[in-house]
Amino acid sequence: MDGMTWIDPGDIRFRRTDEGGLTAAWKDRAGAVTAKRLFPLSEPGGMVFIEAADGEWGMLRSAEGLAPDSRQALEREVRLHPCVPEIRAIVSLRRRNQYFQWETVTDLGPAVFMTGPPYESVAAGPGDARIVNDLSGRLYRLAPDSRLDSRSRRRLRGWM
Amino acid sequence: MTAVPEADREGPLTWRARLNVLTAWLQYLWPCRRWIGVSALAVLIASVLGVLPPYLTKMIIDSSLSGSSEGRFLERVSLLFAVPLLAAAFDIVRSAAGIRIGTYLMRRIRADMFDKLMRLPVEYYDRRPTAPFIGRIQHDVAQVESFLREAIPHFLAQAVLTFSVLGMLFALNGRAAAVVLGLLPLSALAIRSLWPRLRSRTLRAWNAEYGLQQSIAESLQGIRLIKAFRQEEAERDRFNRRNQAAVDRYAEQLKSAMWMQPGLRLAISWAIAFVWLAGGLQVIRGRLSLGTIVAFTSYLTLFLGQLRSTFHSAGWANRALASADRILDLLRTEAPITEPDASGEMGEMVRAKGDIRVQSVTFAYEAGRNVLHDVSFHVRPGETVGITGRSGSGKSTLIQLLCRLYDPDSGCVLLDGVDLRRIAPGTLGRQIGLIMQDVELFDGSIAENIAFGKPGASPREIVEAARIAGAHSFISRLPYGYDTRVGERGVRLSGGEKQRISIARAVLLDPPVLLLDEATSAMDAHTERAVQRALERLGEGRTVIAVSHRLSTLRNADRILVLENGRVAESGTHEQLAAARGFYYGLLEANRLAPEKEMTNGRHDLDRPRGHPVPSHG
Repeated sequence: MDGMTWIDPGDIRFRRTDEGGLTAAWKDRAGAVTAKRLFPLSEPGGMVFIEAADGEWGMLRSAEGLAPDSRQALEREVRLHPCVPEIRAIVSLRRRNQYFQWETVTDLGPAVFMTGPPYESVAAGPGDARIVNDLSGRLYRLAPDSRLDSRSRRRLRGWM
Repeated sequence: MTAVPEADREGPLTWRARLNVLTAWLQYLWPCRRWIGVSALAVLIASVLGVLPPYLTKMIIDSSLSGSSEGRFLERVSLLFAVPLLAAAFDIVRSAAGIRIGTYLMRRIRADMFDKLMRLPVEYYDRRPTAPFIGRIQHDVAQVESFLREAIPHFLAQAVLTFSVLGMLFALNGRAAAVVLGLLPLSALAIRSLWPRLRSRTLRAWNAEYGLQQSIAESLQGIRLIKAFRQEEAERDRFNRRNQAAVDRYAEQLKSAMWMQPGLRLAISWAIAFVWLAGGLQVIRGRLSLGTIVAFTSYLTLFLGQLRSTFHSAGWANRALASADRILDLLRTEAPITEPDASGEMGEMVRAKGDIRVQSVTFAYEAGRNVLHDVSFHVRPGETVGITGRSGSGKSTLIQLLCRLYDPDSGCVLLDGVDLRRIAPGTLGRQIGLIMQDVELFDGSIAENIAFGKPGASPREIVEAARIAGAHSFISRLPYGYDTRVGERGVRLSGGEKQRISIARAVLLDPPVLLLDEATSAMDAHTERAVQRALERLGEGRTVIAVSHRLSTLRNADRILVLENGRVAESGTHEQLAAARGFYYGLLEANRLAPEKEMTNGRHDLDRPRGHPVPSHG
């Protein structure tokens, strides 16, 4: 049943280029690659898809087992690909006509975005996470209540 | 298919039927009997306490204010503070018990209704719109829950208060109280005459709401078709008509009760004025104390307030009973597909070999219109059998019998020699994978959709299944990979992408038997080839029964059955059937001559409103 190409973390090396790109060397292949998390919401630390201009290389089950510098280069890439910031605090959540303006602090820094009504824009995510979908289609992971401060919780509770 | 025949359900409501309904609801209440006891006790005490203040007022006016000691006066006034405080405390106890009872009932009734909806067969849904069930589960349950939670304590409180107050009235002035007592039969008569009218108006209003709900659901389900055919205006008109009807019925319901409250208020005010008139003269003549008349009017206000509340409760009970009837209609619906015997022979079966035997199967969706007549064939484990025939020949019906969406009217379908009716649904679900032309996806992530038949599948298993189904390549290019949401019914994906997800779902389930119902019929040639390759990979080592009108997709089958008017007309390999120059040869010629699109049997990805179904039993 296995038709997949699984990449052994011990066999591959990643490096960030000065221009900010990612290169890799694996078996007899080397060059610029793109790396993407396949389960960015449900298993953010899990499977990474590696692809180059000439096609798919294969998949890494996780970044575990990579050499430290390779791991650092890869994690920097997959953190943004796809980019799913985690909301760690809600500074304000205000209604603006039929839209809602969120002013938040995320793991990638402050973020201000607009959503539709919370009952449509906030969905249950994997585990106890919640996923916020903004008007431009970008997703944010909303930390569970237990990890939010009391003010953020209160602001959320006002609408949800 | 229902426990109570339609004719009986439309007949008059007998006391026996009423008792049945009551028994059914008492069964729901039985587990909360302790909380109901607490609630009833709290109501009793609060009601008795509620009767005391007017009498205390009389005592203050007649004894304490006229020359008694200040100490005694303060003592009685302090009771006026204490008694309502105690009554309020018991009211809180009653509310707390009510919350317990209500939340239990709401959870239990909703769960039972949903469980029933899950157990009812496809046939049940073939005959009715499904969207209004949402309203039934939410609105009807809320009505019944609030009634059951409040009704027992409420009616108990009413009874206790009414009799206590009546007792106090008699104690204060027997003759005047006898006049008041005469009001009871009058109000009973009034309720009895109003009840059927209220009940009819409640039902009429609900029926109109039901139609409106159905209209909204049909329009939204068929929104793409409406847009494609520019039918927005017609849909708006249809909605407006139903909306107007619903509003009219609602107004009719409100109007029937419109005069009741003002009328009752007027009657109460006049009754009190009359007591003041008659009693006041008695006070002036020294035959009655002022305290007595103050207490009497206070008790009378309480008593008439109870009568007013009884009228109000009649409307409440009416709505709740109508909802309760609808809930019981659903809960008492019997499924024609029977659960397997306790001695089900497949209980211990982990994985079937995949031997399928169809024996003398006859089936009709409607009595007198057989779709399949005495169909018999045998598929050996690992064999691939194609089924073809003209539209309406019974191909898809056969597939639906093979996965037991319906049971045959006569004959049987055997898996490894065991009648499907004797296999537990969960066990059967693991043995048979079904891939249809109209792929059913729900609004979740791609990963969740692939893992639908195997919750808890690991990401690795999901990715591997998608790879075999030829879906991994497009999924890995989606912005959020396997966590991308597909939208309601998979609207954000193309037909080919949805089909590959459904194949991945079947790969993950890994069933020994695979049923393909026109799995590639709505696809263009390029997509069809890709999906066909995925299906061939999936079919390796399994029993495959594939229904298709496109003969090119069946060419490699080990055997092809040709259905004609619900009977197996021919059977053999592609080469044998082509050489025989029979029905198959005719279909082959038609395939060659007719453009592929014209050969489809009307089942496309485009949604259609459920109110305009396209019959397709073939």
